[in-house]
Amino acid sequence: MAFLTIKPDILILVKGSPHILMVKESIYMQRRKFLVDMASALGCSLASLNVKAVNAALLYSPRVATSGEGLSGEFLSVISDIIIPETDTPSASQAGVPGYIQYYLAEFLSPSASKEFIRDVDYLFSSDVFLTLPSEVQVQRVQEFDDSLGTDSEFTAYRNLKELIVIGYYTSQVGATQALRYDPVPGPYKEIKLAEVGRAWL
Amino acid sequence: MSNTEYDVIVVGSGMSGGYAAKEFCEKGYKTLVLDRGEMVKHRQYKTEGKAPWEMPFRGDVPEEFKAEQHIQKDVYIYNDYTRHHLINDRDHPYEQKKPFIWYRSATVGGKSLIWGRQSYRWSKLDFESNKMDGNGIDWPVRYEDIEPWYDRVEPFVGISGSYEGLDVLPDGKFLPALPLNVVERDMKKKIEETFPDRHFIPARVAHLTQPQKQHLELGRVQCQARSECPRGCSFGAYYSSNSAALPAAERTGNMTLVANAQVQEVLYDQGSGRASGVAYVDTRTGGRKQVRARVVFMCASTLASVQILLNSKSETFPEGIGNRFDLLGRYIMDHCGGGGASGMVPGYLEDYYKGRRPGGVYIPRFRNIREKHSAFERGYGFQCGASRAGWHWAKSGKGIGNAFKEKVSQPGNWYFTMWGFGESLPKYENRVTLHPSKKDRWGMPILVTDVAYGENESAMVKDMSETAVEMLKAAGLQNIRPFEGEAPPGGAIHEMGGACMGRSVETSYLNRWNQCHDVKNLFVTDGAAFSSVSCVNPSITFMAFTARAVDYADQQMQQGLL
Repeated sequence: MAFLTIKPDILILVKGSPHILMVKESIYMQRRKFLVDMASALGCSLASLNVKAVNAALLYSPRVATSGEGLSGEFLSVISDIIIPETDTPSASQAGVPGYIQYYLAEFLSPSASKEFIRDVDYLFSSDVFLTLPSEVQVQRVQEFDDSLGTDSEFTAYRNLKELIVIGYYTSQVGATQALRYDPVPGPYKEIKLAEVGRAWL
Repeated sequence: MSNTEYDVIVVGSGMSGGYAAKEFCEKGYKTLVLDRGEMVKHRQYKTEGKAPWEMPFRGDVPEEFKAEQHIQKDVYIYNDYTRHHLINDRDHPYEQKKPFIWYRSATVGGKSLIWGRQSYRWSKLDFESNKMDGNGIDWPVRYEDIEPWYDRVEPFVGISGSYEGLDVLPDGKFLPALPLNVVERDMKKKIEETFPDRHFIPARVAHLTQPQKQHLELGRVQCQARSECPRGCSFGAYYSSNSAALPAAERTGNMTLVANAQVQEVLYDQGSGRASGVAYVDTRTGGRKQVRARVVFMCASTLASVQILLNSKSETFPEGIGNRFDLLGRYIMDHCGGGGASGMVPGYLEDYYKGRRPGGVYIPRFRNIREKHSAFERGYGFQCGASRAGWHWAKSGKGIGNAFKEKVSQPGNWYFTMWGFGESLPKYENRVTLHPSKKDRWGMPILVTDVAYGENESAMVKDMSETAVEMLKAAGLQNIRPFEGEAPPGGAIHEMGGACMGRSVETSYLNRWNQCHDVKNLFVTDGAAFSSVSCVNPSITFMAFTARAVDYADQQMQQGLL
């Protein structure tokens, strides 16, 4: 079953036309490693995947898939909510994180940095395919990326995206005032017990 | 040329200039204050109180602005809330022969609006060190000369602190100290037991913990522990020129404050042998003006004051006004730093705090007090503090889903960090000069810095990290990490020297009253006047010298000597 769930991803990737020069080596290597890790995590060897499909996937240019326009709100909602789901407090998408990220990519980053960010994230996730995966596989996939944080094989695109999601959430009004505690005028300073506030301050 | 006449011109409105303006205006002198920066009136702080979600990028600064502030972008307070308080580096270039970081204010109020607010008296030792170890020139004053002026300045500023009775860090006139937290109280016991000569005390900061009548009269009230100080504070709860000295000067009716006025030159009158006034450029229109006064006070910040004086050329003083002996621009210093350590404090997980305390712990100098250290002269102090980790770890930390969210919602472990600030040695060869041809967009010759630290500073910074580690070990911390690397000069933003005070015209630019030896109505009372740098933060000492110099100038004017 696991094998089948990854298969549509690979098959669609084959449709992409190769623009290897546009892909940075680090991203290329990261994606290769991801595919290897993914195969391993799903209980199959890389060899059991269609070799041609894997190679094609490694050559795939995300520009074709996304036209370089940006990351869809739907994709960002799914990823954000896997990392910060709805609990007793709202989820990342409920706090407007996808919109913040889109705004950040369009307005904060330079056009070239924005394109690179989008390309790398899209390349890592195959964002259009990602949305077709069953939710438990989506979670498993994000977990894989997350486990790599702080290691030598860290996925830079994932780290950058997660950072934006975390900042976008905890500095939002919802995140700061519900998931955390925010007091704009807290003075005068005093010591308290954690139980008195129950959560970390923004 | 303008016909405007003033009693006094004060160049700069920051820590020194603001206080000079207050003192002169309160004594009844018609005072013109010129500042290169944009006007920022108290309570007109455009980012104050804004929550992160009210900022377009949650406080982060886009690259296009950072490119305009390629030096300023590295200062510790730099963000989208504060960047308009810092200068545009492209408009204000300088050349570094050796690395020198020059952080500068872009506003009226100068760095008083954005300072670190740590406020310590210098000690007897600080004023004697140059003479004792032979570095630099002997100060023409001693602690006892300055003490009454600290007594005058501190109550106006409002400084919270504890009475400790230490020779190395004299007590002042304090408001109640900010408390040490539970972690720090326990660390204090352990560190002071292990190292009896090291004192672990509350930081002394210019925050109103208990406002007095003179603060309330200016509308200054108790600190609300927002810790958003560099944006400006409408409570007036930390001291700034904008919230305190300039309003005090303004209410006398004697002050004229002109913003966007880049003073380029102190004018010299050959006939009288006096400064006749200053020439400045309106940075918005490019218009040039001259103004005249009986007395000129230079308070433009250490390097800017020196730059202006070097550019004040006349037949008598072709190398800059009062600069007969090539002393102007020499002995540039800063606090050396980069040493220190941090570590994790086990336990105390039920303990927390409300409010962002504006000051933590100070460990005053303990080196070269009784015993001579083998590797370096003079000493350093530590600024420190303990706090719990907040949500920021999550930006690059592991975890997803409910468990991650739950973990982020709770404060993390306690961490204690200590940063060393050391006394660099005054060196004749550490200097600034004017570039022979390059000018800024208003025609002011740009400054060239040629300042470097030596072996004494390197040895001291190394020792900072070693003693920091041994203290954190003694206090039982874990995961202790020493800092590595030295901050370049300018990095501490405590630059001083260049127009040093001394005992003779052959060795110093200023006399014991901050008065130019050769031009009696010209005073320099900012950091440029300093002949050594101590290891403690200098701002209230700038103010104490300023108050003393104003008092002297007042007496001289009353006697008709100025």
